[in-house]
Amino acid sequence: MNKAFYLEPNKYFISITVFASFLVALPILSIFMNLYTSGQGLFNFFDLSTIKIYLKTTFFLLLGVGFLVLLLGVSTAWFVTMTNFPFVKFFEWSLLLPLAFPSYIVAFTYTDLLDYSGPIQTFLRSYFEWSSYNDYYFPNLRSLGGAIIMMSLVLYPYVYLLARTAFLEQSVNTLEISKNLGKSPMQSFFDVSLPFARPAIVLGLSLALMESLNDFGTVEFFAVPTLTQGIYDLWIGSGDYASGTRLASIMFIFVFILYFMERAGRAKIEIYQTVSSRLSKLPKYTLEGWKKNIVFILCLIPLFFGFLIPFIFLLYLSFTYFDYGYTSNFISAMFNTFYLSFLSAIIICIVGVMVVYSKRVIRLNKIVRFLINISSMGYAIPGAVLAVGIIIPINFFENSFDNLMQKVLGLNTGLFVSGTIFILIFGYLVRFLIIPSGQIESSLKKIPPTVDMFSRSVGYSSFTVMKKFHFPLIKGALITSFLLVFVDCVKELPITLLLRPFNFETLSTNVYLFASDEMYGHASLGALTIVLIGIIPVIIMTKLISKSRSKYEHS
Amino acid sequence: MKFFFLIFGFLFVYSNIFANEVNVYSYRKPHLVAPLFNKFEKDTGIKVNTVFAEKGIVQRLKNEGKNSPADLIFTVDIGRLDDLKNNDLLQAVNSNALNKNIPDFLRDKDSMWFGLTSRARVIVISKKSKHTIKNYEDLADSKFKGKVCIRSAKHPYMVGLFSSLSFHLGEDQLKSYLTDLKSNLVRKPQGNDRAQVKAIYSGLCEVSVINHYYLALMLNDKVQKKWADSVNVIFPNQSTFGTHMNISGVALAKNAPNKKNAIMLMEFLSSPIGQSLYSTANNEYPVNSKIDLSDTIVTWGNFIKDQTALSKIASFRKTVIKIIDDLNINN
Repeated sequence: MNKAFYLEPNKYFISITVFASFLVALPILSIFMNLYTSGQGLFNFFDLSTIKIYLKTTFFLLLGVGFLVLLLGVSTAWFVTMTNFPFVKFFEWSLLLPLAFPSYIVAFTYTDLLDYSGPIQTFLRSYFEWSSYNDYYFPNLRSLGGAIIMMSLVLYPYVYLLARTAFLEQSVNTLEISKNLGKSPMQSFFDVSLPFARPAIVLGLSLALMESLNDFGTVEFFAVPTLTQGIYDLWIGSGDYASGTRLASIMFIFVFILYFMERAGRAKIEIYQTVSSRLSKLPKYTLEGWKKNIVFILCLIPLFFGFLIPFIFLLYLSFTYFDYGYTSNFISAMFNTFYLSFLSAIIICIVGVMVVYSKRVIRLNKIVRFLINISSMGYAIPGAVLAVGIIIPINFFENSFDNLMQKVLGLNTGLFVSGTIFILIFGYLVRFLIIPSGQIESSLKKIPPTVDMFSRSVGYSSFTVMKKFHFPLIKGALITSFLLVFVDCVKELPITLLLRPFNFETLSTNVYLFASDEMYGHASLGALTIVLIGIIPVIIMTKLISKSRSKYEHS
Repeated sequence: MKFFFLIFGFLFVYSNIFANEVNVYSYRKPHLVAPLFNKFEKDTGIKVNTVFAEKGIVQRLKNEGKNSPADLIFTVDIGRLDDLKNNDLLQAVNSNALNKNIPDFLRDKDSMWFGLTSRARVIVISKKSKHTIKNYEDLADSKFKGKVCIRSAKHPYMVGLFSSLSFHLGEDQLKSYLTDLKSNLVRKPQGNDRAQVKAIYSGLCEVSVINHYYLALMLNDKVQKKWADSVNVIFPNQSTFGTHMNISGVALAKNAPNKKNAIMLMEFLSSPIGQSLYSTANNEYPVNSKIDLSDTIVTWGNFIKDQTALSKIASFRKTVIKIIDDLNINN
């Protein structure tokens, strides 16, 4: 590419971008540095058998969640896209609803619901006239199996969403041929749809697994010893950096596998999308008789357990305990949550735009490219681990800066970041930067670089190019990613819990504190609010999908 | 670039703007300590800032170093006070008021930390139970097979209790005690102290061990009163070494920026007003012996407390945690 293509590099723009991506890459680099420099002879207080427990639990957690989200996500996506059955239009969007629940909220809701003294078991006992625990068997929710089910119920929509998008984009011709050859719906699912959708499914799966690796609330609450929980305990609980770091290095194997799985999925989708034919409407199978009832029930199950039941129970709890929930603390937590998430979303989107533009229009050297790539890894690293990666370099920087200022100017600058909400915003930035940068990058790709080159060569200024050609295209992505980041900040727990300043509670920390004190009633109103806010992205995604579908129907 | 300086300037001013304040890192939940701090704020005009953390205060203080904003660390459990001291994160306080209000054995010999309240680890047993229980050792008795609930064995309150048993009974005895206790459990250790009482109320188990004030708090809670009403409270080991006690305490951070205000708050907490607020609001046993007990706990009467120095018991913690891990009590 020749030099004329690039914009005249504005030095502020470059320096701010480089600075921002350096900052975002810093915590991730600091974790790696810790891995590299931590000493030997670590297992003083912490032997191999304990590591094995963490490792085994994490492995089975990911295996279990992976299996269940694939089962729920792929099957429902295919039924909804390729077949006609009662209420199919309703299922198209409502199957995304469980996404509104952070897993720690669904976990505590079910804990209260399924508790020995909760409504379900009480009903069973009175109905069957059982008198005590020993009269019957009831599975214990606070277990690995319980955690797997809780997480799968709210994470399958990732697979559903991406599988459905892929099914919508598959080649109609191939499907018609397979239908004309007399293949059954089942056969064309395995022979045509599934191979085509595989990269999208892998992408959805990797996102769901990253979320379950990130989960802190559920595993802490259920006392399930996963790696994330173990690292948190060792680093934060007992200050055993050496062992915690050992464990972190093991966990990074999982992180990298998921990260590359996700990258590979994305790369393949891009290749496929360019060759897929988007000519006519998808041929749907119309189901009759018992088949349509079974499919209806199969689609109802994840919606029922992943959203309806916990939502109704939360609603009930919030009304019953309204006086306990609606306090001045709740109002200030809600206010904090809103302005923190709003401010964070704006900052994260601005940085996202800057990073994407730097990559597109400025000739960057290798180091900056490396920093930008590293800075996009934040979402794959569990928040609890990331928080430690943030606090160490920040405190180090603050203390060094303070020393310098004391010597030079006699000023005491103190800890000017870590005691404020800016450290929270920074934490969110590291974790969620990929949302705007990914969204904007993919929408910008629709404009070939030749457009930029041409416009520049006919004398448009770089700013005009941005305003005239780029902005209209990224506007949608910008709004979408603003909302997605906003909601993710509202739901975020581990970073908020670890880095929040004095007198500062958010909805999520309030919910966690009450729930961990067995006060579910007090927690319910905050939880309900988070879930209601969490419905926003569901609406956005529904709109996006229906937009992409109308493309076929109008052509 | 101007923008950057503006933000920087704002942060700088922001961090130095409040002068008349005291910053508290608290292991105690906000709703438990809020009444005390509100009273102090009203009396003195000094603003109390709190950040609540269940874990990680030692790490946080270490990282923050000499610029840490923390003045006071407000904590429960002797182990944590001990950790803070051993990590050189505290400074000594020489206050006549504190020395007068708090008996010797409830403060650090180097004046690094001060106990503010004490709490008994009591046994609660279902009113429907056919069995009687007198000692902590009985929890491992086979007559309670499938009838015992406990919270996570690695929670500081459990570790404290097991450390005290390790001191009184010896390490080998503790191992066999824990093995038997594990086999008596009806479910794997989970929930907090309140959850154990709830489990007894619902009939899941018959007996558990909790901090006494939780029961008192529950008796005064609309929803949880029926849970608390379903159990009897037993002060264990009255004929042997006495009931295991732990403390909540306060310590002055090594680099406290508002030292004067911090010591004022410490003295307030040990004063008759602070102590009676503590005992009436939280139903804990005040360290200042002149203070009346709350109505709820006064009905439970006097009992024999284990008088062993808490720092002695705390020294067993590491081995106890190792034993808990080895025996895999929590899983």
